Amino acid sequence: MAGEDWTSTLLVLLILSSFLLNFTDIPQRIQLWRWSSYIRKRIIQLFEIEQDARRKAVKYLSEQGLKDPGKAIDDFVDNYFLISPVSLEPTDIIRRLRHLIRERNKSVKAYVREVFPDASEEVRQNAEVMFEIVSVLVLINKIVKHYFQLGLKYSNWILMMQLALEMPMIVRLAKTYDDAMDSFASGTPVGDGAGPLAVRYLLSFDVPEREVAEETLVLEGTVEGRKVLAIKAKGPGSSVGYPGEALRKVVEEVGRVSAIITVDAALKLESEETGEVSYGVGAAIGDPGPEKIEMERVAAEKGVPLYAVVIKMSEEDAITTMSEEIVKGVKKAVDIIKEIIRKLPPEEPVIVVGVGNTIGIR
Amino acid sequence: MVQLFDGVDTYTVILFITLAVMITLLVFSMIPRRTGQQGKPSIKTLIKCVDGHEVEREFSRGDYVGKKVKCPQCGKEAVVMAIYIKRDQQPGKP
Ligand SMILES: [Zn+2]
Repeated sequence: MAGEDWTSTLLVLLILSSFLLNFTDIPQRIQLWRWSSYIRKRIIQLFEIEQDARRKAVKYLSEQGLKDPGKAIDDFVDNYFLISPVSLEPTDIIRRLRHLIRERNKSVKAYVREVFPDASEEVRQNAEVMFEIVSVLVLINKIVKHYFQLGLKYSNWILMMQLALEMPMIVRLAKTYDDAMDSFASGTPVGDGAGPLAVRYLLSFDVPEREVAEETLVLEGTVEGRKVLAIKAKGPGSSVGYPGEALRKVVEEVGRVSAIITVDAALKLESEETGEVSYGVGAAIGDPGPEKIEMERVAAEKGVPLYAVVIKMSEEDAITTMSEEIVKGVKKAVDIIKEIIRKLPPEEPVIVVGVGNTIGIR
Repeated sequence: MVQLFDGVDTYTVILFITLAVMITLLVFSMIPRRTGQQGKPSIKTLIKCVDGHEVEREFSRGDYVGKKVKCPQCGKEAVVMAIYIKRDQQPGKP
């Protein structure tokens, strides 16, 4: 009968496939092949994103009068890295790190000035960011390819699987950087500009201001009957300034202050809404260390309370054009700052530090 | 052996059902999932004048927050208060 044939065939198949699944690497090989073809597609996508960003940069730079933007970008990419200082012996590490960061910034600025001598300060600052963005995208691509090729070379299917599972997040990050390119090319404020915008909303656009540190302004005004000194980067070009250094200088100039209030954009958790505002204690700033520690040190030395007000947003929100929710968040943050100021003694001045990139915000 | 139909035994039926299920699963796993489509974004510039008019217009290159402009309503002195991205409201999405 036909049924018995089927039974024996199925039984043989079952035993054979169970042997193949359990005692050979064939399933892993198949997985490796599947993950790698998935990653290969994503790598092509990443490459397209990089090319797109490069095209945007070339377009912006040639519009601004740069003759050979392609070469200017190529000469920048891969160079201007920063090697972290030795942390095994942490003595004066902040001083060393600050030195390295400033020297790097200086050489980047010098490079941009060299290739782009006729451009305005603002255009140069934006060009700098564009170079950096292309650089980051090239780096992302290289790292992904590195792990992909390592995985292939050693048939490391675990590495391949890990990379494949990370790919959607990596592609999203790359897309975000590509979108950021548009924001910086058009000169619109980005989400990270929440801090500087809060300073402008707290005081106004007409208050007296002066440059207290490189690319960093201090504004003077009155809020709730208290004198307010507000620090922000100098706009509307792309800049974050040196808020820590500026804070120290301002505090040393005025002597006694009643409080230091820092306001900045903060990375939200996945469940939080963009534009949510909360406050606490500490220095709200996301720099690699030197500016933040300067703020903490000044506050601790003078025994002044250090408050932090943060506007929550995702990484995407932070580097692309500011959304309406963030503007609302900034208004809320200003109300909170006013609330804090109202409770302070009226005799002494208050310092407000608006941390973040001030592109598109004077 | 149980015969469901003439000439077709249970094993064949099971085989075909399993095959059909597997193919369906494969096809569904290959269809790319659509993520929540957001409305078309546009960049707006918000202008506020000395008389308190608030006007929202399309962003034009060269605008920045704090820029002195003329009020589109009364022509008096005004300032750019904000530049932001506005997404068209999508109904039914939390
Ligand atoms: Zn008006």
